[in-house]
Amino acid sequence: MESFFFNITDTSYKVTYLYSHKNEYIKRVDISNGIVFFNIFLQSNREKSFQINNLDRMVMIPVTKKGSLRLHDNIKDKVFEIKENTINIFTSSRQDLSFNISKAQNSEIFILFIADFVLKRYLSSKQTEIINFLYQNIQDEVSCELIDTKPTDALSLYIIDKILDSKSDDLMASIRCEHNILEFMIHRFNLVDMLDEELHDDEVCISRSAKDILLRSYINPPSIETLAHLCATNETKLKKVFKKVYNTTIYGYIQKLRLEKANLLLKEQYLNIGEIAREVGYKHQGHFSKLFFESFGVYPKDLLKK
Amino acid sequence: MSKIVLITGASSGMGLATSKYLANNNFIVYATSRDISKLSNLNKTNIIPLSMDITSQESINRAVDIIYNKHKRVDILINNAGYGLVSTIEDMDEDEMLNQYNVNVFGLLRVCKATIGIMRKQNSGIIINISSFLGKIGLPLLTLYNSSKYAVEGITDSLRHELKDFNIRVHSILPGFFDTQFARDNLVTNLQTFDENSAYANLVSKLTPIIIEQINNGNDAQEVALMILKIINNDKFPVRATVGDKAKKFLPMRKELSDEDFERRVRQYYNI
Ligand SMILES: NC(=O)c1ccc[n+]([C@@H]2O[C@H](COP(=O)([O-])OP(=O)(O)OC[C@H]3O[C@@H](n4cnc5c(N)ncnc54)[C@H](OP(=O)(O)O)[C@@H]3O)[C@@H](O)[C@H]2O)c1
Repeated sequence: MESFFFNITDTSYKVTYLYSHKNEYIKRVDISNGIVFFNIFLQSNREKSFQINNLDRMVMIPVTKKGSLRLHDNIKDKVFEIKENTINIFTSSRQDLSFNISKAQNSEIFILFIADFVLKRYLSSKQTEIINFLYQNIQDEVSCELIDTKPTDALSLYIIDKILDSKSDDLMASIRCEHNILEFMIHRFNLVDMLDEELHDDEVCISRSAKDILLRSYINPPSIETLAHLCATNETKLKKVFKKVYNTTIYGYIQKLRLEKANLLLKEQYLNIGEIAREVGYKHQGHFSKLFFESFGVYPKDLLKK
Repeated sequence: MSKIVLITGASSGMGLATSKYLANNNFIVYATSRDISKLSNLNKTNIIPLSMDITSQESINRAVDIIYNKHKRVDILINNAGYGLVSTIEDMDEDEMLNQYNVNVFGLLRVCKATIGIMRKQNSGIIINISSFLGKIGLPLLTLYNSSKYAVEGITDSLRHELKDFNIRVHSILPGFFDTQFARDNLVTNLQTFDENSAYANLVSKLTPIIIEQINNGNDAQEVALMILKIINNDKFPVRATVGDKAKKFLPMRKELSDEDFERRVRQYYNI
């Protein structure tokens, strides 16, 4: 009985080279029986591909730092183009997949595979949480489904670097690496907006338009009163809906959008921290750094260094 | 001093391979069989063929006495004899049912009964049960065989507790499919189940060729022999071992996946 997972019988943190030539490689690392990542580094301007054909319930997260790839779902004969600089969450419960890494001068791609029984350990009692959603999704028949795609951000790269930098002979290599992978999962899953299916139409409507407005104006957002007006509702109702749908206050939500934007700007490396703080609407760099740390666990300067 | 091994079902397959391998590694092997003429041309000084029918306590006691009188000890017992009944439950007859457990389960217990006393008094011993990876999977047509191997798994787990104070360790080996005489001589089929007009004809025609093909293209029995020596040499060896590359992922998968997910894999693997 074959499985993509369960590759570790006598060791943990097992490194397998699927391809290696000069300083190019496609490396598979098994952290435990349910967590695997591929570390892909190619320079020769040639296409490379590999297959995954199994009966595993899993979440796959390809992250393209440089280069792009095409994911072919051979069961449904469907193609997913995974562009440069994106982080994507896919689900699958039975797969016949071809990963084709496109021709490029430089390809740096990280792909994380998580088995459903790993997610199962972390299910929440709140059914609407993303982790429950992903777990439920792969209990059904899914050959390959794209759940979310977002641009690559500085914090993700920072955590991925930590994952890739760990070595099999490090002290506590396996638990350290798994810790970093969990951190990565928490961060990524946090960025996916989950809408409760039991919401009323008007609640969905109000929260959507408020979000759209804030997405355009979070640097200099309207007052709550104006926002309520723009969403054709009143302040009390708007606050209530926000709490219910996004599980935060309006101000908290604005802050989340600002910090997420800052996280993307940090990745670009064009601006310094003071400029980024102002760019997303904070007057004081120190205040911005402090909020960033509270939210992401690292200081912006640590992300800029990389 | 050479250790004394008693192994059942030694005339072919894993039993034979293990007997030879242990003999080459300086063990004295009592190779038992219902028909020792099959062991007559072995000509190895360290292998002593012994007649034993594991369905008869008397026959077992007689064989064990011979060993005990000569050496005053039995160090290692390898319960290997076994066969497989292929029958639906609807079709099986009383004798088929009783006989499957009589050999695979009660036979094993009888040999344990005859040797445990000796091991207890010498305050040491190793019992290795050859179970099967089918002792952790359900399969149609093999209900009796698989459940007999489930029973062996339960025997291993229970005896470990019962015998721990006497320095006797008990292990199970769960082989994947192995190319032995098993599919050729030791799969007993029920005629009704295999009748072309049987209600199970479709299942029979789908599953049995796969199983027979997998056994006949299975691993080499020598791998079991190597595993047995590993277990003997390592006091700290885990309770169970799987052998055969196909079976390697098996135990971790069985532990980690839900029953339903595991069942899904079994169905896909056996096309049922
Ligand atoms: N082959 C596989 O794929 C496979 C997989 C998992 C587990 N197993 C298990 O491995 C063990 C050894 O089998 P093998 O593959 O080596 O097959 P094998 O070559 O057919 O040997 C089986 C042995 O069991 C003995 N036996 C069979 N029917 C018996 C009966 N009615 N009463 C008493 N003894 C009987 C035979 O001993 P004598 O004729 O010498 O008396 C024979 O030597 C069995 O317990 C089997 O269930 C086999």
